[in-house]
Amino acid sequence: MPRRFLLSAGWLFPIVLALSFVVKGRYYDPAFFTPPASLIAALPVPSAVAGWVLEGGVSLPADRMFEKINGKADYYLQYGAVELCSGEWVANGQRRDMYLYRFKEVQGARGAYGGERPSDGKAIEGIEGYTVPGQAAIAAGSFYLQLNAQTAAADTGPAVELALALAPGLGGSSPASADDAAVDLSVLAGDAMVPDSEGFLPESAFGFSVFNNVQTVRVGLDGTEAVWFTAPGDAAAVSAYADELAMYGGEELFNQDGASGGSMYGSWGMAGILNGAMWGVQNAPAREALLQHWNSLQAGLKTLSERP
Amino acid sequence: MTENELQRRMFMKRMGAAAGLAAGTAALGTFFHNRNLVPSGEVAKAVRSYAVPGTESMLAVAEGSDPALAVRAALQELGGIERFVKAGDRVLIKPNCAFDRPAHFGATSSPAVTGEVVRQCVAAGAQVRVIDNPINNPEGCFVKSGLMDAVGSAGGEVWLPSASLFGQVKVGTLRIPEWEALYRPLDWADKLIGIPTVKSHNLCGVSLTMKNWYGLLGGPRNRLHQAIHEVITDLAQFIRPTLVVLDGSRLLVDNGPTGGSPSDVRPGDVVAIGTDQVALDSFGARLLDYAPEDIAYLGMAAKLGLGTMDEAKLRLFKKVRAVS
Repeated sequence: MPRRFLLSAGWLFPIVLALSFVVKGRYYDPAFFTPPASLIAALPVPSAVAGWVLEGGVSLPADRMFEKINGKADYYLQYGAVELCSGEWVANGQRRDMYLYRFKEVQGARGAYGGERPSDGKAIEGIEGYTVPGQAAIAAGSFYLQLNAQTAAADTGPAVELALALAPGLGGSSPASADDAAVDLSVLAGDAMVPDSEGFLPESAFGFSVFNNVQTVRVGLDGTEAVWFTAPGDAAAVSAYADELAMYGGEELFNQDGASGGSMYGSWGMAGILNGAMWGVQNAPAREALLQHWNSLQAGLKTLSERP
Repeated sequence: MTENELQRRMFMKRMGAAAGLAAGTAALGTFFHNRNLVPSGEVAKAVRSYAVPGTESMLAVAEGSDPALAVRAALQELGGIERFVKAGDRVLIKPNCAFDRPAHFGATSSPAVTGEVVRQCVAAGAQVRVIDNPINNPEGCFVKSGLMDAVGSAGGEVWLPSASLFGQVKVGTLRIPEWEALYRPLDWADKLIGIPTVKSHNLCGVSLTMKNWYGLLGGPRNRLHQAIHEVITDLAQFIRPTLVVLDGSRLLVDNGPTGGSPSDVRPGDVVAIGTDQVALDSFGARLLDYAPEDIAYLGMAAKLGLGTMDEAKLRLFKKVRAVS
């Protein structure tokens, strides 16, 4: 009898399994469309600030960002975006759509922000941000915030006020001054910077696994362009870079003032520790050009560090 | 009867029962599968052609920074709206209203172009309804895109999708012979006008006229992305519109279909109106710096005889400057 019972149970198993799929498959998962309360509660912004009230705020993790920004999600993911919070801020008849991206690293937020900042963007005073018709955007800590108006003709003033009110809660306003100036590549490159050339490479920059979370800028000196960069790292990282360069077939390797470099596939590069951080130059067309850029980079850092 | 024969018989009996059970569960699964919108067993209906005889293979392009003026100028080149829409006609308009984005982000059809098309049809004596089945919340999409106001102020009516509007329809010959679609609105209409916007698309390169018909479908549309070029070609077989108004007033050149930054958008200052979907999409692809030959679904549609990528082969092709 127990043996017969077990056999019967065995017959039942596929039926139960199949029915569970059938029943489950009949319905959409409501959570797919309506994020659970836990996601709503976890927003990194308050529900009300400076007279504005947030309506319909939700948070989407990286793998669900496409639900709100299909086609654009990859752009933010390449900078290490981990979350998109959206909702609508409402105050006195004004409405602004919020797209708030959180990144793994501060540099990621800066990279995504810098990559989208149009050349005609009007700077927001006292904060790293800009306005264009229909949008205000800021980079604050590891967040990149966009506030979109319903029309391009809308006054940007209210969005700027809202952005300024939200910035402190997002980990500071990251203004392009004070402490930040020492690592701001656009300030460092000055007039030699190729317009709109700031970038961010989250991992394996220039083909080297040791270069991660790298900020870059293209610089032109006497008709030769190269990429200046800075990345988290110490002397051990520079040594690891030299090892990788040798291992992958680098030629004419050299060490100079604690920096290492060489050429690979006709492109010259080097990296070293300056002012306690890793700095470097890549994609220079010749050794002379590489050293010219490196010396210019060093001089720029020295000038910045001597500023009162 | 030996012990072996008994075991064999028992084995055969159990195998037969197992096969029966497997077939039964498969039948149950098929019966219940995707019953979210359309009752099982509904016979797929054919959607009529909305084309006006004698207006085939036409395309008129109007350039100018005033979208409404460009619509009027292009229509004029085709013989006026009255050639396509008669007094008493019920006109269904399908803009691209897929996302809850303000108009200036270029992810949705512009209110200026859509409003002017509605206005023209109303002036011709037609009853106008505007419909889309968006990705995001329908009402939110129509409000935020500015289309709700534009349609209302031009004398039309927005028809928000609901489950009761859907029915199983015959679609195409490549990938989706039938699918759930907004059949009742399609059945209601005498004329059908598409108003796609010109935008890039991360999966198929460009989203224009044919892709715009996606918004007439229901059901699990995400599956359709797995064979997107064939599906878009099926949609071009599915819908034979009265007119298509390709809204190039601004172009979503990067990160489509949603975009998200004003830097993804650039002014287009052009409206193209015509009846050849392949020609219209080829024109739109060029606006986005694509060669039409590089867009797989355009090649498939041309091969099926749904239109031409070569403007010189059109029966009528005109280009005008829209100035007041």
